[in-house]
Amino acid sequence: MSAGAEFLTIMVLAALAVTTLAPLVLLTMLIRDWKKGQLW
Amino acid sequence: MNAVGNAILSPTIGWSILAGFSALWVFLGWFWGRKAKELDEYVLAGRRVGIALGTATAMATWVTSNTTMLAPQLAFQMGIWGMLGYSLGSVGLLMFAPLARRIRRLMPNGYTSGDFVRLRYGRVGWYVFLVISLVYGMGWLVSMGMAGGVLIHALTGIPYLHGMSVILAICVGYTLLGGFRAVIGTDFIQAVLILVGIVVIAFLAIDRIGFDEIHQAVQEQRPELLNLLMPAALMFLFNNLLFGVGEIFHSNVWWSRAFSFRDGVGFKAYFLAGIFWAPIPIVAGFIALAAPALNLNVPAADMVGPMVAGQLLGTAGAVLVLIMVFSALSSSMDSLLAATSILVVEDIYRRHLKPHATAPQLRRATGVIIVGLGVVTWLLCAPRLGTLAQVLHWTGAFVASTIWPIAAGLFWRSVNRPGAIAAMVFGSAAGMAAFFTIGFYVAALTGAAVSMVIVLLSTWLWPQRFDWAVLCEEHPGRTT
Repeated sequence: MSAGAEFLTIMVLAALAVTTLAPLVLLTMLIRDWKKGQLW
Repeated sequence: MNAVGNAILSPTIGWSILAGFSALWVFLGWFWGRKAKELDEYVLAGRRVGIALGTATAMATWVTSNTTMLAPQLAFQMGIWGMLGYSLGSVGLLMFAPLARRIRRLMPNGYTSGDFVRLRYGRVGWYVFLVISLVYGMGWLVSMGMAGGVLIHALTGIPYLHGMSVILAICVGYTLLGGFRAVIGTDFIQAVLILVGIVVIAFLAIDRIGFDEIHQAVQEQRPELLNLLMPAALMFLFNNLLFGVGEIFHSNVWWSRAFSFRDGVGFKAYFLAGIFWAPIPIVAGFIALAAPALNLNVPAADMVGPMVAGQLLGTAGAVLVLIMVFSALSSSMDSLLAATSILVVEDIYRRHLKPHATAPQLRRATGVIIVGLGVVTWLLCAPRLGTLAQVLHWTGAFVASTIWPIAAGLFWRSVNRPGAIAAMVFGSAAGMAAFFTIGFYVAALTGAAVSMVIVLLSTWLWPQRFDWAVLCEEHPGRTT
């Protein structure tokens, strides 16, 4: 059974979506921790 | 191969980028570490790390040579399942989330995973565990030192030995200056650089070639890479899952983070890190699948990632790849240097050589060990023996055999002590036998299976009682 082009496209685009979102979430959490004085 | 001739960047640009980022990491290491005089501040950042830095350090540390070198290599060798198999490495982070919470609760004064094994399973189990942990730690460090040298060589033509030496020296330098605070502070910046870099490269690759063309070229030239029933790749998928779980469950890299996070952070930080990490090997592996479409002649599988990125994106792309990979390797090497140094100081120096050592003496010893680890790693990396995958997967048999003794020992009071020790010994032996007789893709699978059977059977047949309060021992770093 061979993976089709659609399968490859969906898999990579889904992974890209999460990877794109991750730095934004990290920066938001950093600002929130910093405001609360809980960075480290 | 004439590496300088084939490299996308000139050695001058390569050296400039390395110098710039090296100066930044060392400055930040000094800046964040200048007030870390106490042992707890130096090795565990005062045990007050918040959710943002906690999540970023867990994620960045787990993004090792995987994203930049090994994921493309495995995608090039095992196709779709190679990418998905590597992605399952995130299960280790997700599953460690409840363990991190438990570790913080049971061991508020703990420093190392060795502390837990010594108190939970006694001296014999502790010795077995230390051998496994140190062999693994050195294997990981060496694989990353080699990855640094290989990548810098492929992208800039800088000789392997020079590139490897620079990245190792920089990591030793800023870890030594700033301790754990430098490690997690730089990890945050490195995590963001890695994520942004990989997103940019992947979008550019899709834009330049496109999914259909990549798929068509792979189907014509390497159809086995798209086979969803490739038996070796399916075995690799499960093997890698267990390898990742074993690596994280036993290694002091992850335990030291659990000790360093403030109350209530451990579970959330590891869970989020797992979610963010999972797609990275898929995106990185996808880059390797572009090799057939580009008609690239790949001389060694572990060079496919940088070669494709360089071919696709030219000088700017190669600069981005170099920055991203430098960040990925640094974020893992600094963590390993910090976590392994406190493991050696606490479990070997203090427990065997200087039992009455004070906190300042332990603080100084940690610095000496960081430098010593750097020297040993350099000596092992210099000959460049084998590929990255061979170096890393060799340790899979050992670490997978610790999964059950660690997890069961943290949650089950009744775990049989000799059974847990036997599980680590016979699990490692069985995993190594499978490694040599079948292949690397079954080593962790076999080690974990044998270890599980021994722990479950011995605990069922001869259950014991353990007093959890034993784990809450005093330490000079916490009482002075």
